[in-house]
Amino acid sequence: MNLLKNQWFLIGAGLCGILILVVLFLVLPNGEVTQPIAFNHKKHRDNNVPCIVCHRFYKEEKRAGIPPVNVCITCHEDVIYPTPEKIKIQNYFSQHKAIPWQQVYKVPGHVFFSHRLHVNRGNLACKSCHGEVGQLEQPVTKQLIPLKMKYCIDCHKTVETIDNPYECIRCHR
Amino acid sequence: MPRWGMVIDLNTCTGCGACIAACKNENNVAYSSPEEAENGRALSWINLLPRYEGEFPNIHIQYYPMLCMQCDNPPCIKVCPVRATYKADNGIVAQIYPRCIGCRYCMAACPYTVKYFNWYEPKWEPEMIKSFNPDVSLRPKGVVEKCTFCHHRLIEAREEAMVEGIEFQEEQFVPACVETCPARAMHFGDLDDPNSMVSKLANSSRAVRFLEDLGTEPKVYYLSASEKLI
Repeated sequence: MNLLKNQWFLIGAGLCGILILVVLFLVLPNGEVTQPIAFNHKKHRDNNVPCIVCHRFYKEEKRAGIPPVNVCITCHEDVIYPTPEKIKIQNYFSQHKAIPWQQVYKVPGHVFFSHRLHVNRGNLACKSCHGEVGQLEQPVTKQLIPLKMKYCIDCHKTVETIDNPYECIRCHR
Repeated sequence: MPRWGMVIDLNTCTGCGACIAACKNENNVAYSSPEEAENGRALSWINLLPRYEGEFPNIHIQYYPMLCMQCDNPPCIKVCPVRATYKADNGIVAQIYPRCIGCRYCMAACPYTVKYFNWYEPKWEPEMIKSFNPDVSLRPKGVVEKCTFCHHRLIEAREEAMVEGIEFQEEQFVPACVETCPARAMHFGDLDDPNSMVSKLANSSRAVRFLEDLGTEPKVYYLSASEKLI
């Protein structure tokens, strides 16, 4: 009890608490991920590489697909102008390892989204949901448009869908 | 819009249980231990209800595959306080798991007792983890689940028809149990289409439905030699 009456002890405890909060704020993740390779979307787009070269399935499958290393190596095989990122790709390729891309655009497990439906039937451009990813010079670390249910519903209110846009089992099954 | 329904021929059904196994695999239904089953807490979207007639050795066993009847007038949706279960436009009674609060009113209201509550965390053998159906969610503990006529297969079939540029045919949508049935005792299709096999069978004189006098208008018909079902 004597300890609690000591004002220096109380001040010290308070300062420690603030310090811990500051450290936690800096350390805890803020929703951003780190990508293994500094991928430049804009540069690829400017060189006329369409989305489908790397995201190969977005027209035919439910998922769009992230590029495996052998897709990257088709263009980045040369050793004449090695850059740090090229060397990383070549290392992954020679070691037969997959590039550990971090998935940024994902929905919870009880939500079922289909790329092929939205692209073929809805005629949506990638940027409708993904934002201006094509203009990014830095790797994608967070969703440019936060994918929440409200975003889906807001769009579905305005367009004509196959059946009732509010049919819950379309997405939650 | 089609009105999906099912017809089960009881004279052809051998009670083999293939539909149960197919349903469990298709819909990621969790497996239960013998102790859980003893307490009546096993999960199985189709059950075989047996009926025994006669004295041994002249015994006759009849199995009734019991699945969600997808009623046109479902009692379960009227009691749900959060609209987690509702009737979709195509007549399928849907269950939205993330919305379910686990009150189990719908289970009490269902006269066919074909809704199941997840009493435990779902568990599978480690070898089975990679063999989940990616088109169906894994239900957590504390929600009610039931047969959906493999509604995800309808969505898939429609999408595939659209990608291939062909028109969606009703025959492309078949639930897993109907597809599996080795005796071809189960039929599935549009009840409103007068030319479909299902509507012809459903309108035949052998067709009966469970507990018709309750006015639930079930969309699962049984073809029986004897006129009355239990």
